Amino acid sequence: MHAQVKSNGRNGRCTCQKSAEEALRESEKRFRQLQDRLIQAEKLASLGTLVSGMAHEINNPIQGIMGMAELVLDERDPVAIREYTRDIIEYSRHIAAVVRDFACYARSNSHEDEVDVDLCERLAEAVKMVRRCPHFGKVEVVTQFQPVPRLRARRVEIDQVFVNLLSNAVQAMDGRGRLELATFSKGGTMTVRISDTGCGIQKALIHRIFDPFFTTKDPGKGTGLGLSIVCQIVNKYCGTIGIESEEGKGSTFTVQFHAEKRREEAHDGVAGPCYGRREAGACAGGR
Amino acid sequence: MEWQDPVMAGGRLGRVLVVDDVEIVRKSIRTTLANAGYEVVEAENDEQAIRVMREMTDMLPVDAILSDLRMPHINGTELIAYFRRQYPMIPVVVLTGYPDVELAVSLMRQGVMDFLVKPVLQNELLTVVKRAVEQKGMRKQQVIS
Ligand SMILES: Nc1ncnc2c1ncn2[C@@H]1O[C@H](COP(=O)(O)OP(=O)(O)OP(=O)(O)O)[C@@H](O)[C@H]1O
Ligand SMILES: [Mg+2]
Repeated sequence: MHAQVKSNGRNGRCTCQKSAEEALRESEKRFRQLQDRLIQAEKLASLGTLVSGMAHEINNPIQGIMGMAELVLDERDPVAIREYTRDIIEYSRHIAAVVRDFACYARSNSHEDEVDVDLCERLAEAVKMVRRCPHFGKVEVVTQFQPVPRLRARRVEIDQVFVNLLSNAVQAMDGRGRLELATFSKGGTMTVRISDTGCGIQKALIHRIFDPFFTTKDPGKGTGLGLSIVCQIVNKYCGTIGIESEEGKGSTFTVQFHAEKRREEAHDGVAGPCYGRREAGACAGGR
Repeated sequence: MEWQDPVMAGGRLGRVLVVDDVEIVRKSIRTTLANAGYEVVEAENDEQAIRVMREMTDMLPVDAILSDLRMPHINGTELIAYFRRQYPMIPVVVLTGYPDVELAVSLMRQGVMDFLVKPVLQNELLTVVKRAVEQKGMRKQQVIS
């Protein structure tokens, strides 16, 4: 459809050019489908850790709800009964919210349309998800969110970027440390910065961390796909990602998107994504 | 069951420390135990639990400890280890949201008396707490090292 709009006034092109364009479009379409599936597969693979967080987040209120319900059974004072019942309702709502968040996160990306995504809101939601992980521990979260322009993207994919980066940061801190999150925008560039005071990354390894299956975690603890998918998604939306890290001190991941570039791409007729383009600075290692 | 005023019940069966970060869990356990005749001391995290125990000057500040585990995979068991070290005579019961067999085994090895996975019914809870309180002071020799 896009091609038709673009070809107005250039009707005289030859058939071979047309079929080459069609083949290109076809392969772009296939690439996009494959990429969708890959992104979804990574998300499902990493859901395991999040689900153990879910056990905590659900079994706890259920313990409370069951306990209060049993108390109601034995209780004669109507005032106490009302109070216990209100607790039951409140914590049931909490469970419903947890389940909704998880279901939302796990939803397939390929059925989702692009919308104007609020990066601050998504980052805050991702923090909520990661907080539920058992290893979150006593990590302190400091946020400094300045409003940034909205990004045209699939919401679930942006969530996946943030959840992956935050999970890595939290894992690097082993239950203790400071997670600093900042968003700001300047001249059409939206920046999201995620800093941790975790173990940091060895200089010799920093250029490998975006490789698929590269992991320093114990078998069964990480697939090593997290950052490679982060990179794919960020690239898809014409963004860049940078790292600064010092061993033993911590790491900072900086994701940037460019409002203008996204709009241009959309107008070019390529429906949004910058397929596999790895511009200078995209997914670059730091120091 | 007959309803008893928690204050009136006044812990004639013993004193129990309940550690849990979720308010409704503490509230339901507190009310259940108090109705049954226990005195309940509460803490919502590790530091508070340690402080509460230190502030009570008795040799055995409580008769049993019922503790949640917040981060079982890393250092969530630190608090349990602390209790076992500082108060080897006080039975510890773990009540957790994570159904994790390996963890249960390792905690039992540290001398934890019971490992309960949430949610548990009042009756189960009362049975376990009763057993724990009765066993107070007899636990030391049972630690498997
Ligand atoms: N914030 C961070 N601090 C320290 N090291 C990090 C950080 N983020 C990533 N790394 C390193 O990069 C490696 C690759 O990260 P990636 O997210 O791709 O995989 P993973 O976290 O190991 O596994 P998965 O994401 O599948 O659970 C990690 O194993 C870790 O060594
Ligand atoms: Mg990861």
